[in-house]
Amino acid sequence: MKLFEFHSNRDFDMQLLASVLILVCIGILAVYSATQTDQPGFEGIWRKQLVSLAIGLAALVAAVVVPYRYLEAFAWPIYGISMVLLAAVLLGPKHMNTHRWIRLGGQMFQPSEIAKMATIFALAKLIYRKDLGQAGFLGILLPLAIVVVPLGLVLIEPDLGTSLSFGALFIAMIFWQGYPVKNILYLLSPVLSMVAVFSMPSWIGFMILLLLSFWFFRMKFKYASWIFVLNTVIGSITPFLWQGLKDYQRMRIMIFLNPGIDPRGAGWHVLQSKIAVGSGGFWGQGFLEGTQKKLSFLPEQHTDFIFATFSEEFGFIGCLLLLLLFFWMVYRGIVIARQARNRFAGLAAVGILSILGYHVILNIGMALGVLPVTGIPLPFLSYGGSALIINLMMIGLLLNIGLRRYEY
Amino acid sequence: MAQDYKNSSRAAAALIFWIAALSVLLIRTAQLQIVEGAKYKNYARQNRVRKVAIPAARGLIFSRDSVIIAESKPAFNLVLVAVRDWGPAVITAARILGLDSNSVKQEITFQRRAYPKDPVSIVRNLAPEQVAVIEEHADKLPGLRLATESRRKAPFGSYASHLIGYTSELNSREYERLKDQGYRLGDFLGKGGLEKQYENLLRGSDGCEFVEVDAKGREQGNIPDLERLEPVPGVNLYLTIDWRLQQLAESLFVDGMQGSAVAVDPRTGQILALVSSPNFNPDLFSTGISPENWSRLASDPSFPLWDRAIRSVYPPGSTFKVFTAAAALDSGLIDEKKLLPKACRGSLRIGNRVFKCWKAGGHGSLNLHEAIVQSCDVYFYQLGQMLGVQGISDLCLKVGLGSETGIDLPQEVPGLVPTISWYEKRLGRGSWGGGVPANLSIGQGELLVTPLQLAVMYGAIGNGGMLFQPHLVLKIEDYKGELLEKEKLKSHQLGISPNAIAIIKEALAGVVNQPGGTGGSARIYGIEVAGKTGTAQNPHGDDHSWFVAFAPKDDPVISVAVLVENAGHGSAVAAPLAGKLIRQYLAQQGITKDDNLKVTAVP
Repeated sequence: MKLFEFHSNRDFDMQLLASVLILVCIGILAVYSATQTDQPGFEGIWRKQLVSLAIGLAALVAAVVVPYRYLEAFAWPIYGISMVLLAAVLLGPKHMNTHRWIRLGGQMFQPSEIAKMATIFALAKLIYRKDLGQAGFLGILLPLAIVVVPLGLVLIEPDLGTSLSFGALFIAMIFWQGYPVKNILYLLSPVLSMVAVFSMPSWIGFMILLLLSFWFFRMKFKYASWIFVLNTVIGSITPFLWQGLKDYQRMRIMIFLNPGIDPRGAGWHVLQSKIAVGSGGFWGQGFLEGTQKKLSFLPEQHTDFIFATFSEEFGFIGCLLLLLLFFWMVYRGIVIARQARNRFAGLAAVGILSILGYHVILNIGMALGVLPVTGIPLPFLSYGGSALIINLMMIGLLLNIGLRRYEY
Repeated sequence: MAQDYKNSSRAAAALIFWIAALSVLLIRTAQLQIVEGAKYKNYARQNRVRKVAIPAARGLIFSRDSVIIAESKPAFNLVLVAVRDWGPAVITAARILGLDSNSVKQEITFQRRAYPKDPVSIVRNLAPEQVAVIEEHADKLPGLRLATESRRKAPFGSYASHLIGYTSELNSREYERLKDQGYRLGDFLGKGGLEKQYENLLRGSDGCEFVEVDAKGREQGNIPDLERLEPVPGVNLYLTIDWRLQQLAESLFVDGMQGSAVAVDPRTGQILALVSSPNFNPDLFSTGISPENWSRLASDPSFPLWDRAIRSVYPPGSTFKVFTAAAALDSGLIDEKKLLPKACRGSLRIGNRVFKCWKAGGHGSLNLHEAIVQSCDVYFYQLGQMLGVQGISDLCLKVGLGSETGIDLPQEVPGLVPTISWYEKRLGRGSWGGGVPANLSIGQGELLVTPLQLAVMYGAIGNGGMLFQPHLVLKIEDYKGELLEKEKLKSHQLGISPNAIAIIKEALAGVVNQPGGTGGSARIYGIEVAGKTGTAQNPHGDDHSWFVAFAPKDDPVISVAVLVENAGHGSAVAAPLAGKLIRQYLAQQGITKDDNLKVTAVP
């Protein structure tokens, strides 16, 4: 068995690697800039980020070299171990008011980072031989269970943003494996009901659309009635549950779901972020010159709101470049996934891309005030060792799959 | 290849989705940076947006008859909003108010270290005339504004001060500990009593608003696209305290008398009155206590801040004899008729020590009933010797002496029930004399209880052996008056047999109502009060005077413990006070008709 067995070095996706390398360089600069403020205490952390980057690049190389069929072979043990870690982190001590971190050899890391990859492999292994086009609703239950376990465990850490990333990879991967789009929408319909019911007309409209869709798709009565009943029950119970709660209980639930919100006014962070982005203008205020950042008006400006720091200093031009880099990275990834002859590898690539894309959209959307504040880091830019290392490892895997794209 | 074709169409769909999502982000970026860039640049250049906290009103505390006993009043503060160039305005303000401008500046610098960008209060709790002066000169004070906050006010001064507790500003240590929970420097924190116990509920949560200021820090108005977050006032507590009974109980401690009185409804565990004397005025703390006032309170030898009802322990004295009796009855050592081997001749020799009875002439030969009624020490010395330390301590621990009652107040102490191992640890194995159980049997020596414990225990005896956990909060309502929580009654059996309880209750009624009983001064016409006097020996001074009682004997609605420090015999001092409390409460409840009693009206 050869360790290196690819068709030719031309299959190595230099464009993907280059876009990621540019992104990490921007990331180091942004972290450095974000910590040059009138608030002391963070000056040196860009060096720590540099150390994490070195480890991450080593992880990237390792992920390129090892054939992915080992990941397929060990998918279940890896999944099992990471679920145990997720459960263990809940029993461990709290750090910054949540159960997200585990201390390992003096270093804090988040097991949810590993769980994302483990779940991708396990789900890919479970479904890659199946034709999900014929799976129906019962056939999707087992794949769903694989994802619901980590989703639930991460939700109660609590970490809503990361927990929903499991939902994102699930939808992307079953879509890739041929699960009908209409069924995906039906699977999501109870969640939509729960949200829509906070405005009665929109929920009634939603239910009418649902009924029309049954007729349009010629749904079997058996399934249609189940979906309808489920949506009706959830739609009618949710308001009662919510109304039955006291003000302070609702606040508690909202803070539980989303510890990032400031009970004294969630709008403040977003406003400061919008001011930072907007004041960047077209050309930006220049590297190290951002005033919002310098005066520490931005919350979490080296982690969750790094995009605001970046766009204040580099302006629209910088944002355009950044978004193009992210676009190119995922575009190259999609090309790799499309060309991969091995279904497992293709699915794993799609899972990785969905996680990266989800983080990019949610984080930037939050900084721009179009999505709620959930405390999700921006890949390759936000300060944070374990996220950077895992993200680079995922890029390594993508490159690996690209190298072996003609293998079955 | 069909597979490839499918892959291609899915890849195209994924790509379109990705492009669409990024386009939305890019358009939004362009909107902020290009279309609205000038506006945001302006905001950023002048740091024009300020977040101003709107403090929540602290919840109110009511007595069970809906009298407000702790309220919140708005107070005015002078607040600095400007981040820079505030020197001249602050100097002007200091001159107008007659303050030293240097110390005001120091205070600002100190607070700005914690909140570099936030408004800081530079003068707090302004007098009305100061408010008027500030408003008059508002145009000379750019960057300064008047803000209100809520401060505790005790409408009846020191009334119920120990159970309510007090609030005062966070000190820097408390701030470090609590800042993650949303506390800020200058916030008030409950630091004793119910204010501390229910701090998280009473405090409510602050709101905030966003104001735009000009370059000089003058306010230009609210930011339209930012919602004002309304503060949520704290909850209102309705206590089990009976306003009139509490007032009467406090008025009983006259002329510097020190001690405690506790009244409980034994059917529920509701505390009707809880007094510790001397007391203090909580407003001293909520208005920012001066160093002189603080040192006066803290160094007062009568400890006015100390809640004697739950935090002081005393030997129970003869009030403990009911527990010795219960232990002896339930272990079968005696029955109600049995006479003990030695008649009372005024003293009893155990080993080489002589233990005296309080009545030097002696009581003669007695059964249990008469021994309790006349509080004969010699009778109980003999029971103590028969039971031994273990027999007494076992019963004490079983009924719950030696542990907290679980009342919803902070810092309750458990008292002390000495056991054999306790003595061995303290005095060494085998080296403590045979007289120890004799001493314990009459409630002297190392045994220690709180006034609350005795009130609760006697209530449970009156209640047929069912002990209800004492509590102070009847119900909790939110600021709109919506019920959030009601009291939950918790109870357990004392573990004394019904037979023993019946015998003890008869004897306690005899103490008050029989000729020759020691508690005659608590007698009430037309109702059977059952109780016990006690005199706690005090090595540091005069003995403490106890009286513990419940009434009516058969179905008690109130049980009372009164302790007066250094007042001598229980029968002389504590018993009449307890009698007054019971008399008024029974009249209030319509259980007795008492034409001679003048009961003050509920305000």
